[in-house]
Amino acid sequence: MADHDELLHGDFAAYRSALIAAVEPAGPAAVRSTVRRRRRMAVAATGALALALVAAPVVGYAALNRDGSSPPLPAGSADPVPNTGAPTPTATPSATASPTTGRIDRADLLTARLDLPAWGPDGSCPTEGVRLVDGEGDVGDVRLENATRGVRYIDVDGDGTAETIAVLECLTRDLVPPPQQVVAFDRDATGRIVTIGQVAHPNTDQPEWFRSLEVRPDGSVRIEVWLNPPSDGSSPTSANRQSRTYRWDGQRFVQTGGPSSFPEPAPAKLTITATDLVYGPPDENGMRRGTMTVTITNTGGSEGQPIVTFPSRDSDEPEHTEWSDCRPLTAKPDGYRCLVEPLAPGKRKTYTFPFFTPTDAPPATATVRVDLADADGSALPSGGDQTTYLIKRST
Amino acid sequence: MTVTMEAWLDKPPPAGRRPLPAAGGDTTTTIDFDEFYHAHFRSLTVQLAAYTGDLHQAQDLTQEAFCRAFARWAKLIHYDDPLAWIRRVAWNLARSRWRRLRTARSFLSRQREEHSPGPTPDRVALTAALTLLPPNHRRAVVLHYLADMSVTEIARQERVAEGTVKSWLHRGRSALATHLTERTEENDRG
Repeated sequence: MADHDELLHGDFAAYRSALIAAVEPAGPAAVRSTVRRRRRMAVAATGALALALVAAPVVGYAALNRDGSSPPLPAGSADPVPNTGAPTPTATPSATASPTTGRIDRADLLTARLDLPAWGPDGSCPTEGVRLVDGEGDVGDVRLENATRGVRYIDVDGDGTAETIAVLECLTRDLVPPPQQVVAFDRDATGRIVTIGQVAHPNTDQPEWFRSLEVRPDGSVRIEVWLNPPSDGSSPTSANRQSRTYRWDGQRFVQTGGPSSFPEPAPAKLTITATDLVYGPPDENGMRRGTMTVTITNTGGSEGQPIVTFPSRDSDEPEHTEWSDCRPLTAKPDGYRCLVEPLAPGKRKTYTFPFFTPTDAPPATATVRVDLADADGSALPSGGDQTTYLIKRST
Repeated sequence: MTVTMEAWLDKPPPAGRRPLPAAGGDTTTTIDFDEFYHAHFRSLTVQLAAYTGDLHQAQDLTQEAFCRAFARWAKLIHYDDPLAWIRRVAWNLARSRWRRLRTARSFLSRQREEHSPGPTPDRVALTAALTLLPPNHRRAVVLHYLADMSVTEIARQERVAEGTVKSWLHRGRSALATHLTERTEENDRG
């Protein structure tokens, strides 16, 4: 190989001599005039927009409206509005070439038709010819997010000029938090806005979302990720917050720092306690009515949906019409099985079950079960519990 | 440096030029942009021409890199190695998918293609051999043999491990040697 090395040195030296004579530099004067011209064009372009600096409100997750839209911006704030009628003033009489800088301002992003990277498993979010919305929008729109202080500029690909980073949200009806992605944009040689690639999107197997991002001088993008806060509106703890850093590797953005996801939480685990079923005196038809309450607690780390199963007993009829909290699944002879609303980790809920009986059966004990439901409403083999209760008459 | 001498071949030195700052000298002494341009333009162009296979595009890319350098020249002169910055930008432009070039020279350069001196046999052989290499290997050999960069310097510019650079160089060299040998044999038989 040393042999090859020397030969190659010779070949390249000969190549260099031959080629260097053919190089015709445009010259440093051309550099200066180009840079001057670009500076003039940049000044002319920004002069045409009425830009007001807006202190963007920090929109906490709990403040999001139920449909996923942000609360409206406070009255009196101004958004940059591109002139729709007035012509853009130009610095020179000759036709001004469209700006080719990768530093794309918010207004230009909002008027462009963009091709976006895929959003993730959700197929309902648009990717082609997308026109971004600002602030409120309809289901199916893609919003240019404002809460993270708008678009950012940083040189991600080391070509000496900045590109544009923006956080996009797909407005959906039933996905909370809504799908997000962070995208890097640039302009091509004709001035058209193009997508460099997707910096990142939140993992979809857990309810995590991008809260804010910062661009670093070294061209990396650091994103703060939050796990869905508890439904009681309390702020996330450090266990529910992460920082992930991404960088362009020449072909795509890759993660270079921070954990890739939140640790998988412990599965749901349900426990059950029950009061006795106590019947009152018979009515004019000889029916006795009674209620019992059942308390279910989720002691696990994930949300779970409980299925409650009462034994099938001839003497005790569930008063189904009154079982509003528990949706019936099956009846005799498998037992009275019903489904309640999902229970968040650490939460406890009490349900009331009215029964009636036509008989004067002696007191008995019975067993009530709670199980975790799978997607089809069948009981999972683990994570459940059972307890016994007394059935008796008050008189 | 050989390259610096060649750069001055057909250009008289500008009148009243300031000397480059001596080592350990005052860091606020300005590096003259024109001097810097003349010192490095051709060498950078040749590197990119070897990589892209297109001399005129290489000229445009290099000119663009110098424009970006000039736009932040006040900062760049304080860097330890301004040349490394320009070189990295020039190479990133060459690799960029967008080729966001809007130099006035682009149009003129294309006009000149008919009038430039024809390529020598040396140029053709090496250019042909280089195009057969995958981009990573091609970059590594060009940076090593034309930009005179060490493995460490290449690793830093490319942001990869030194072992990766060594592997690229090793394979690039072997492939080039093979292609060039075959070419020589063909010519001999010619």
